[in-house]
Amino acid sequence: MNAVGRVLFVDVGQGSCQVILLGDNRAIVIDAGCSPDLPLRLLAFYQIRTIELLVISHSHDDHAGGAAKSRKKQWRKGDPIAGLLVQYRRAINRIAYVADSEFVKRPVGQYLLHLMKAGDLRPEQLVPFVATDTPYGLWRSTDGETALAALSPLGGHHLQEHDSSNPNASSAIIELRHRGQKIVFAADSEYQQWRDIYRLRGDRTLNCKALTMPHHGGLMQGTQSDLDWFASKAISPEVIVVSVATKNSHYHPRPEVIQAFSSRTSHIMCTQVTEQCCIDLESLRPAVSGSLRFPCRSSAKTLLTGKKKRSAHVACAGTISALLVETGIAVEHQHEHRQGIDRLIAETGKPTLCRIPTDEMPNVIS
Amino acid sequence: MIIHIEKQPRIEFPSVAEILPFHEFNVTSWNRTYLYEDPSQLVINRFIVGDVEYVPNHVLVANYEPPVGGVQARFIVAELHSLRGLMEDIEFVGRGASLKASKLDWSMQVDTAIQRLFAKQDFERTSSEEKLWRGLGRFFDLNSIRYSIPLKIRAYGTLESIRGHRYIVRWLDSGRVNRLNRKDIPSAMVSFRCGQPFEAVVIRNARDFKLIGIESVFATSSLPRSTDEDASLLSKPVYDPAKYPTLDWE
Repeated sequence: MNAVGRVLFVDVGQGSCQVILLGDNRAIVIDAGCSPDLPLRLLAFYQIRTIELLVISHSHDDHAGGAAKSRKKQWRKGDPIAGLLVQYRRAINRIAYVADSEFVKRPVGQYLLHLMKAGDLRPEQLVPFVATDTPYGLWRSTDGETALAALSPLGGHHLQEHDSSNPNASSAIIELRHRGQKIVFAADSEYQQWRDIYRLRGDRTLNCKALTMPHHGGLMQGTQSDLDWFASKAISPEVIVVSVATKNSHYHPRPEVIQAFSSRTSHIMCTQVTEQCCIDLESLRPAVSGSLRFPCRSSAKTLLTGKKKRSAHVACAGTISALLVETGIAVEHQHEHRQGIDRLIAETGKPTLCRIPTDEMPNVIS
Repeated sequence: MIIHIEKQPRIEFPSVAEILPFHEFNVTSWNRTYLYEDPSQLVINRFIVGDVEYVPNHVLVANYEPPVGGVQARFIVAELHSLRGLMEDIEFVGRGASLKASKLDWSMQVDTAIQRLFAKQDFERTSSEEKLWRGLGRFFDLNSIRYSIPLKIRAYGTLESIRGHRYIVRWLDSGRVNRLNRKDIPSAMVSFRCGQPFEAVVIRNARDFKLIGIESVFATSSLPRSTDEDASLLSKPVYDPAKYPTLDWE
């Protein structure tokens, strides 16, 4: 099928990064995760020469890379976005970001200032998110068939959140529109943002082809009824992408979040598999879906880390791909992933999180 | 006990001189090894173009036609020659004044075809390019070749310390530390003091991003601490928000 682009939901471990390959050696990058290599390795591998748009949804390190608690630690953890800027400083057309006080302190904020003072970046290339009541365009293809829109932050109260202890509440929600279909990149958005979107849409559900699950399938600030509302009213995705690491201390993805969506969506694809789905993770390498097709954080070789030598970075679907085709958006390799899950269930005799019947969901981990 | 061994009939091969009238050989028989001693037919099990090593999936047999009467020599691998015409300017026929030149020309054509395909995403390929990709994929493990090509990337780092003859470098993008020997670093770095930030062109492994070497460095200034005025540069949009193109909800 003829395609004009490819969206990669990059397996960066416990983080979020999406790359939209536009052809002609151009790409759009949405967040950079916290992996030291990706997405720079991926962009260099595909010989990307121009970044049309770099989106930094919010300042948390699993999206913007690094850790900004102290200046010393900034260097130790690294900053993948700063790494992108070093490589592409004269080849980035626009940078969209939430301009909170943390952003300026981070290596990426400092490096942006350094580039501006050196003349490698012009102020008009910087596009801080603004509070409006309507979506606004960040990028559009030359034929007008594909566009990237910012749905949130909305209203001044969202942007004010970023100076509180909750940058998530000002996390950008980005929508890719292509020939009448959509992919929603929800970053670490909160219920309040979705309630505002729902209200401004005239109380209509947002239908989309694919959704990146907020908070990597973790709990947002709210109650179970907020979660049920979100899954039933706010958004209706065909495919859910959960960007999660095998070894994560947050017990992501949370069973109650998966349960809320599993009956309402056709397919849930996690980038990496966790112990919630299988104990013997080493036997699943290179991937539950069978193979690693795209550059990713997951390892095909044995990787045991930590004092207890637990498996790390075992791919479930790995880096997930969606093609932008003439008829809309097609998420690839779903069949192989389903077959992989079927094989895993048959071998272990235990259903995975995305296949557990509702009444057999494990108790909520508090 | 007498064991009778039946003699195998002698197989008469035509002499090389009958096949190749341009060369004179003193031959009395044709045996298997002569195929490889015959400069008109060569086996290719690997070749290198620039920084890329190409190892075919199976040994390729090439035919060499020496220059005759002003016509250049030709170097052809019949299996690959069938892919001619699928990419502009690529015939998979090496031409030159000698065996060496024509073989080089052929290997450059293979390299050009593969590298041009690598530079395109799979969804960008035309139907003939897709055919060429599949065709070349029968002879070469294209994925392995792609991963074997080292990545040249610009990076920002700091020379943290020098311990004996070891230079300890920390990179901004990954936070990783590399302990490098003198032979791994450019000469310009030897005069750096501890704490010196620099920009460099580094060579990294495409598969695991490990550092292979540093091609060049130049010293830069440290990233400045931001002031309130700097913060305002980032937080105040140059654009008037009213000028952001508004879209509807659908």
